[in-house]
Amino acid sequence: MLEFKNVSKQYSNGHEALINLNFTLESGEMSFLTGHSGAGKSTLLRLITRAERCTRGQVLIDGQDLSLLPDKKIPYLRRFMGVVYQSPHLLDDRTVFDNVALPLIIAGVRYQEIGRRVRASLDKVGLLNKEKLYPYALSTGEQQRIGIARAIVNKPPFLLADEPTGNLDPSLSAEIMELFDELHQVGVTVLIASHDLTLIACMQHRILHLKHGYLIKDGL
Amino acid sequence: MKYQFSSQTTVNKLPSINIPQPDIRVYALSHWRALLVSLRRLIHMPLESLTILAVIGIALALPSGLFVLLQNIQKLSLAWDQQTKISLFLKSTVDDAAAMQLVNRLNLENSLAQVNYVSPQQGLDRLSKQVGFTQALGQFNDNPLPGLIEVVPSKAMQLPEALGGLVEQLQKLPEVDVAQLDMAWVKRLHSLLKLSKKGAYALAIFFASAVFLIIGNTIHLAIQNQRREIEVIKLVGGTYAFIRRPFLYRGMLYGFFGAIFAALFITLGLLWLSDTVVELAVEYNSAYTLAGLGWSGLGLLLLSGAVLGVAGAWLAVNHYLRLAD
Repeated sequence: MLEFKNVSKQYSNGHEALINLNFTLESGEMSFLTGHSGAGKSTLLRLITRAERCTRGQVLIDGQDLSLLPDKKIPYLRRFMGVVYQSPHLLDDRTVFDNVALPLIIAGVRYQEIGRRVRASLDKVGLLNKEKLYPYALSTGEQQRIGIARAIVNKPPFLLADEPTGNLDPSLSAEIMELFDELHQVGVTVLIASHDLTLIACMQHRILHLKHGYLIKDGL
Repeated sequence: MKYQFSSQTTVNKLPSINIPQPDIRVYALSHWRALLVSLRRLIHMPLESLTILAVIGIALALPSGLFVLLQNIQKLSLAWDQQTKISLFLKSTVDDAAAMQLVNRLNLENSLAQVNYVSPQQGLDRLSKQVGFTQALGQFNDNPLPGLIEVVPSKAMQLPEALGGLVEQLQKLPEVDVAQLDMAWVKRLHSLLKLSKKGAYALAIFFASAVFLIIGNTIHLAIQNQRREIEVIKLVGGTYAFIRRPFLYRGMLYGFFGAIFAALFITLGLLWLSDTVVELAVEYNSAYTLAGLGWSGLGLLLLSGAVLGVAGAWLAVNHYLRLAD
């Protein structure tokens, strides 16, 4: 599903964010990406969404080399992965329903289908009754779950998360991680960047640990 | 209903990252949604929208209103052209019989549409009917008027250039003393009209650029206000076309509704003028009325507005997207 081959990323200011990374993520696998802030977690995720291009090596998704992906295909790459961010990037002038529906609108899905899929997605994150509210009326944890609902509404086979529990208290964090685990159970490939080590430790999944741009640990 | 990833439990492969086959239904739906979204945004800020539409309306009304006025003047001058008469004042030695012979000859000319003889006596009768002349004419013992042949040139000869030659030709006739036409006046009117039309075109280009820039700038501001939204759309896989579409529709709506405002302004202006024009026409024994934009004029105005709007919006969005890269 995802393969990093000798990947390095150097920013134009000379900062080396990632150095010679090699790892493979199999279909349906769930893994965590850990490391201190500045270790390169976000950069790694940005390489996968093609927000950045690697300076050396290859990032392959399903065998496709992302650095060879033409710019006009990037939107289609992003439609096949759900991404959850630390701040959920919701639009305050739209209802919860419209926020979650956005990826479906972009894909040109029919109205009736949108209603069905958005409600299924909201149901999954337990916020079905909030669809008519605006994001500012929700708690941080609820907003984060709306972000997750939006990420999975397209039923993407690949789910990325960048510090999804960064702003949440431990019990909420555990709830969200459980949600990701459920998605993993039904076959979604999941990669979560997080520094919540205690939480990760009880999940019993593969851990990729970054330090100063190097991958120094890969395993359980 | 529980969310099921049913399709992915068995097939857990990333669908290829290829651009999907173009689907007319998806495309149409996307356009329809973009139109709705941009309409909703226009209605959402009624005061701002009305202000912008009024500005666009004024900018479009100025050149198109001028065109309408010029068209009216041209219509008027065409009416005058049809009345272009050349008066052939005959030498005093030419009597009625000789004059009638000349009339018969002139009637054979293709360049003349109408030939009409006014004998000295008829001329006298005409004059005496006009108030104030009876007494003045009484002072003469003999009829002082020469014979007069009024000729109306045919349509082809109505052009100022042709008229000049015709008058010259008529002047050379032995029976004719003076052939008279106020050529200078007709010429001047025509060149004035030509000049005004050129001016109107220049003005039209000038104001069209203004409308283009106004809409471009408005869309630019709208983009700045929706930057977050654009960023989120990009994050969840929106194409540039998807981002661009609502802004293009918005530009089109600004231009289109602005043109409707312009048509309204022009119509109001003509209504305001028309009373005076009718009054004036009555005094001149004419049934002249002002012509409005007309359907084709209205169509052209609306189309230009919409095209200018789309073009202005296109410039703004593409500028933004290029910077965002």
